[in-house]
Amino acid sequence: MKDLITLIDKFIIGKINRKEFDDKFNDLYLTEDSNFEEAEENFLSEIHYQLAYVTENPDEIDRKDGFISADEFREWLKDYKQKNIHFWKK
Amino acid sequence: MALAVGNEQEIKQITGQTQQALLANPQALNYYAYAGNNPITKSDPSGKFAPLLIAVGTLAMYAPQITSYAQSLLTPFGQFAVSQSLEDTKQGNYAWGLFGLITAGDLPGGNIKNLNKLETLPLRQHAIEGFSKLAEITGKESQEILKEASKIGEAFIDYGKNNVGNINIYVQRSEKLITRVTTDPEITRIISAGTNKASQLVKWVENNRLVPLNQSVGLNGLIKNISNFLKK
Repeated sequence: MKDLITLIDKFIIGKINRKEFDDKFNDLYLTEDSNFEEAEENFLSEIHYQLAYVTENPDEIDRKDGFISADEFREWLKDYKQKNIHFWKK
Repeated sequence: MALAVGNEQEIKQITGQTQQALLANPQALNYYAYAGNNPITKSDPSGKFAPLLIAVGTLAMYAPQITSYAQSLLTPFGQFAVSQSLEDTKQGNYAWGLFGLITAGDLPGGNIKNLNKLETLPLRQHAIEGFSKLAEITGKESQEILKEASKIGEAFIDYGKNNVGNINIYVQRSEKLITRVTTDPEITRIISAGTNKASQLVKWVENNRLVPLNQSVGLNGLIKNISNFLKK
């Protein structure tokens, strides 16, 4: 979990791009033997869900389908983390 | 209600079978589960629930369909229904327990009638990227995944807060992971493909964020589905 929080912070401050974040996040989150606590799982699953709806330069059809841009995702993630990270005490 | 997706210990305790054995061979269901593995203190003196046992026996006569049924139990919705069924049995509601098990997974193909054209739909760029990743992980090409999704996938309307009611079709990949194919609400294009965790899908089904495509059939509808299923 600590690695994932570090990864999220790196993306929020712009140290890594969306593709790097996407690849690394899925490597750490979508594993057969992951053992997250319920609050952690809920927190991460929302990010994973939104991440599936991010694309570079979404056109009108993309928008209709629910896609947002990488910059919008960064803003969303920043806000989401601030509002939902309270369970994280480590 | 307790959820026990893939809870091997609980399934074995109640049915006397391992999950794999139960799914691979539903005919071998331990009928003592009907009495919570305790036929001495729990019984069905009125015989009202006996027809359900006969229904299970009748289902066993339809081996090919049963194979599809067993596959449907491996889907998130099927697993959710199995968990509910086991919980009902534990609480002494044997009739509902059996009924839930019979109808688990909403019956194979029951909710994907309008998805058999998946292979013909155009892929958006995100879908191509998604399939490319899935190919690396699963070794399956997009056409193969779409074929699976159209035949054994479970279709849900996705009411996630950032979504617009897109259709998600899930195919169980392993005990914990699911392959997802997403179309737009009108099922005119495939907009993405990826992986999800089975545990999260069950939660989203439970809180109605994911709703089976042909939901709201109600009890009568389920009975009708069983009837139609047996006639096939």
